[in-house]
Amino acid sequence: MRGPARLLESYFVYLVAAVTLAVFALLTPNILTGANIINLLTNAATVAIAAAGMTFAITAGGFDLSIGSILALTTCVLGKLVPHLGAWGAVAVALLVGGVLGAVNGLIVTRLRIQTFVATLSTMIVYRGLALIYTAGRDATLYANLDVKYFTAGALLGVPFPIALTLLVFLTAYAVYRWTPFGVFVRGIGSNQVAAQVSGIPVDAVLIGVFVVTATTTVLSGTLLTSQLLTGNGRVGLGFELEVITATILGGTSLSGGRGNVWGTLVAALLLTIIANGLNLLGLADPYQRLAKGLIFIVALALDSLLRLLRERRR
Amino acid sequence: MTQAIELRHITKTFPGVAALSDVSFDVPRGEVHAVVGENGAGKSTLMKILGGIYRPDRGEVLIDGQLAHIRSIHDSVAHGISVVYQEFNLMPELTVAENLYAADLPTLPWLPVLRRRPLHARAGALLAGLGLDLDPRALVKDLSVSRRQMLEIAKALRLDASILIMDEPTASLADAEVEKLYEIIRGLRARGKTVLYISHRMKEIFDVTDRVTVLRDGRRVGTELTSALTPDSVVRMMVGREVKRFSSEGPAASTEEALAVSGLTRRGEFEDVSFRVRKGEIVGIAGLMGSGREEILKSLYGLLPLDSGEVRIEGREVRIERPEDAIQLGIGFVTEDRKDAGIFPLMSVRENVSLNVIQRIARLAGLYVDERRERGILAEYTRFLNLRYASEAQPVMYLSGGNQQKVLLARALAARCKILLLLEPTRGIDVGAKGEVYQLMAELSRQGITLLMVSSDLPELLAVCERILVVWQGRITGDLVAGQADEAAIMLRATGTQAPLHGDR
Amino acid sequence: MSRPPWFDLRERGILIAVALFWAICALANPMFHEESTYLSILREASFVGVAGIGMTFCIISGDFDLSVGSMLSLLAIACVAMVGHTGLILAVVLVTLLGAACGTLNGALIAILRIPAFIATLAMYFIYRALAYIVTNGQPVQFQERWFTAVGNGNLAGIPIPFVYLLILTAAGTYILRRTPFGRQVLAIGNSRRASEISGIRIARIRILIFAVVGAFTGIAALLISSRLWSANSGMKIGYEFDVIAAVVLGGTSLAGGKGSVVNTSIAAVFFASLNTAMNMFHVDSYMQRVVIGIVLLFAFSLNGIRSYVGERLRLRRAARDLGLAARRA
Repeated sequence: MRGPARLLESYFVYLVAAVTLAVFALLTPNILTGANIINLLTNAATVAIAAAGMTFAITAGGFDLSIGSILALTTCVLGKLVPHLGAWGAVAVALLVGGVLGAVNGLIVTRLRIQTFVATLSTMIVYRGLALIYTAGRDATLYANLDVKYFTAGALLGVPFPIALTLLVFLTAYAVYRWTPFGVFVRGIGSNQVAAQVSGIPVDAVLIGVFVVTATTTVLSGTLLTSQLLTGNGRVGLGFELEVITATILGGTSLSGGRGNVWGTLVAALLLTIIANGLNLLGLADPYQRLAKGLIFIVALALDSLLRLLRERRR
Repeated sequence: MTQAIELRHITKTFPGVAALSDVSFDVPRGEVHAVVGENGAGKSTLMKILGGIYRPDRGEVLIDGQLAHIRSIHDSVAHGISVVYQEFNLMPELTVAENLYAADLPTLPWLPVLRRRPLHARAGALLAGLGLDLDPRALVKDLSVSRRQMLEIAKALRLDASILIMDEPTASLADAEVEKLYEIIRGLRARGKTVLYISHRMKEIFDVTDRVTVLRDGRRVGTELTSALTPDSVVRMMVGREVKRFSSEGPAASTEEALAVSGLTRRGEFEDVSFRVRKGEIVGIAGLMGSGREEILKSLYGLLPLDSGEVRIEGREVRIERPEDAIQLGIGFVTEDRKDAGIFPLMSVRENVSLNVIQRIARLAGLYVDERRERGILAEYTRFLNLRYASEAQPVMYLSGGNQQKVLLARALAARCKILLLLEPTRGIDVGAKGEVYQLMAELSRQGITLLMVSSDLPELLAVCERILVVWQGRITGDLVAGQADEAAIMLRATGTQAPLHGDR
Repeated sequence: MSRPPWFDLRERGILIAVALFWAICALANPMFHEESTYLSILREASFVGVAGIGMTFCIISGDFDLSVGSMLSLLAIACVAMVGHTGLILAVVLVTLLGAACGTLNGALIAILRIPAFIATLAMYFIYRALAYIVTNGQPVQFQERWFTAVGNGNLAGIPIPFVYLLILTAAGTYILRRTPFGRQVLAIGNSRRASEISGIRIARIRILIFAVVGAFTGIAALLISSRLWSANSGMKIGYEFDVIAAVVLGGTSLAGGKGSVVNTSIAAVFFASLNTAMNMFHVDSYMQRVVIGIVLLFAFSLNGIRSYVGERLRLRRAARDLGLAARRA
């Protein structure tokens, strides 16, 4: 099935992003001002970075639904610890916590043999519970902490920090996906897990690794978010997993596993931000925006299955 | 001569079933050794023990004279054993080379970064050495089924194992590729490698193996030089009794037309297929894998949409768009894929048999399933098909292959079908049950039911059918009277070597 | 020789779990000596159990519905808004139909657009909530008719009315699953989609119908809950879908589809209600309760795997024995 279907599949998201941008540029001229573009990229960073991790999970044929809770826990850890450890120290602890929670997800999936979907559904509840217990359900506010502000307002080599971090994460993700044995293993497991096992791929270790990746990229997202909100709260990030999965699938990573598209994920995350931003500029209220996001999600999924059908038809 | 493999009193029991009991035999180095037996005789269990998937309850395995403890796939590989399993163990989204060396990818010395060039070079050398024309860079999902099978074999050979186990390796190969496989096997033998070859196909056993071990009911019946055996004697050892060859006397040919199709076309699969079948006739459809033979029957049953063509049942033109229509029109269908598309594994025998007619036997405007009528149907077909089960509530997954096949027949017949379409009706069932299925088909034919069957087993087609249609590349290339044809006549048409006999188009 | 399954204790492990749990609680806390405690447990269990009946069909067929919590919120709002105008009977009918309509929409996305069920319903989870927010402007809605509070809070001959609903609906659900062609088709689809297709089952139609059933039962649950709470709002019952799915899974319905029991789902709902009540009585922190529920859920999911493994082995042995007996008799 070479030819148009495969091409369409690979580049579809770029096309949609270009068209959407054009439409919004016509409707709301100030979407393309320099400041707004920086703003767009910065806003996209939170979803995009976690979606880079999710690309690995979905390529491996799994899911991680617990990342919304890990995001919340990250804001809580930072909110509580930055005053004591400083921004970088607290981020290091958060990364460690995220890594452990990711490994726990991975262990549950591989040792208890539970589908990733239901396993992370359960830990989603547990982790959010942990976040709420840790902060006793209250806000952990960071008053004017300059270190933390660096993560939104600072710059790395002249590039705003969130944008620099996003690029760094995606360059790394692409390199890992394309050029390392880990990337090959993830694709192999996603396309046929039994075969991967028989071929001698360390399936369990790779799956645990995948969940550590989704969790730690989410911690990075959570760091950016905390820096914007300047507060930690156990209720943050409800539905975050949905936005991240939307970006990943819209970007061309196939739900049937084995085939990911790292750059597609980035473009799709941008696309979602453009849409949100456009809806904002058009003056749409928040619930309508949520409705719109749900609908976009449905459309993305319908397209994914449509392309899959097309492919099956070709066989 | 050293023995490559020595099996000593291997015993393996699954709950309630003795899969292997006290099996011992030796395979000397450099021998191609066939292991044959009916389904359930224990061949696969034996292979899985050597492959490190199962552990024996008792007994020991010696490799090259040394006691070997094979506890995992890894141990098996460490003992120089490599297995080609029946199922495909390939990762479609990876390349040929990545599939071959998944566990052993070359990387930079100081960073886990792949080095593609040595990977492709190594894969290319391996494939060329085997005489296989496969591009190491190709994605496996773009390969044909038979090429995947060859890749599967290459994968087993990549480790340069000293013992190679092949479990029905030819199941999806074309003839030319079977020849290639023989060459590879002979090459291995010449290099002193040992091959355990599991197959159902007598021809292959006699073409390529040195000795044969026959298993029956988990026990070893005997080990003989292949040259000292004949296909008949092997079959006798397998079943432990004389098989009554099924004779197709057949009923008096009716002249009534049951089914007539003309110009059936489904692009890319079959084209302009026309034939007529008389009432009560048993017609076989022969052809190689991928010839379109299954697809023709699937289209007739409404599982695959037709692009064009006309179907007449008893002279009346009908449209069949989905299986529901076919069932209404009196067409039954028994799949070849019993495990995945045939049985409802967790449902009871009773529920399995009544499912096609569940709407018909419901009372109270289709809101109440009358279990008494269900039991009636089950009782009728239990008697007719000699179906065996522990209780009507027994989940069908616990029945033997032969009984599951009968459940599928009962389900199709329960809808009072006049035309029965069968795909590989005796695949994966033991010789005894096969005989029963043939008797049943004859009985159904006597009752005026028309049967169309696809089978890869040519002797079976010749024995059971009155007429055989041959399909090649989606076209009918032969319409033979079974009594006057032989395997060669079918193969000539199935490979497109000989033009159709009947120039009626 | 096959005994009716509801007396077969091997299929009723969850009943034993409830009994054990009650026994332990009764030893540890005198509140568990009061009849009223148990009645209140049964009442609370009903709010989850009713929706669990629909969900049992869904999971047996091999699908999932994550949108029931949001759907419940939307339906409860509709119910509260209309009950004053329609009276009870018509409200029950309308809210059930409305639920079925929502379910049909879910089913269409899944069976016609072929979006994997859990993802499609995850999206609908957000859409229904957003709709609920939009129609109420984020404000709670209340009803003025005091008689309507009896549906969720009242008793009938000493039995909580919601539990009466649960008993009736459990019986109805069991009948539909075991004794109607539709029930058979649900089981068949859960066992093997491909074999179902060959049997002439219109799979898409049945799947849509299954989601409609989920919606309908959720509608009745919405009625009971809104009456219980005297109001409804767009933020109510967040996480409800987990409670429902947890009850179905703990009740032994296989996540892989193909078999399950409505009765066991209802008993599992009682188990969770008992757990919640006990945690409240032992003053477990409300955030900690979430953690406990999540862990019980994990346990239920893994139990499913372990039990089916052990169960298959036992059954295999039993089948072999039965077969041996049958062969000897023949």
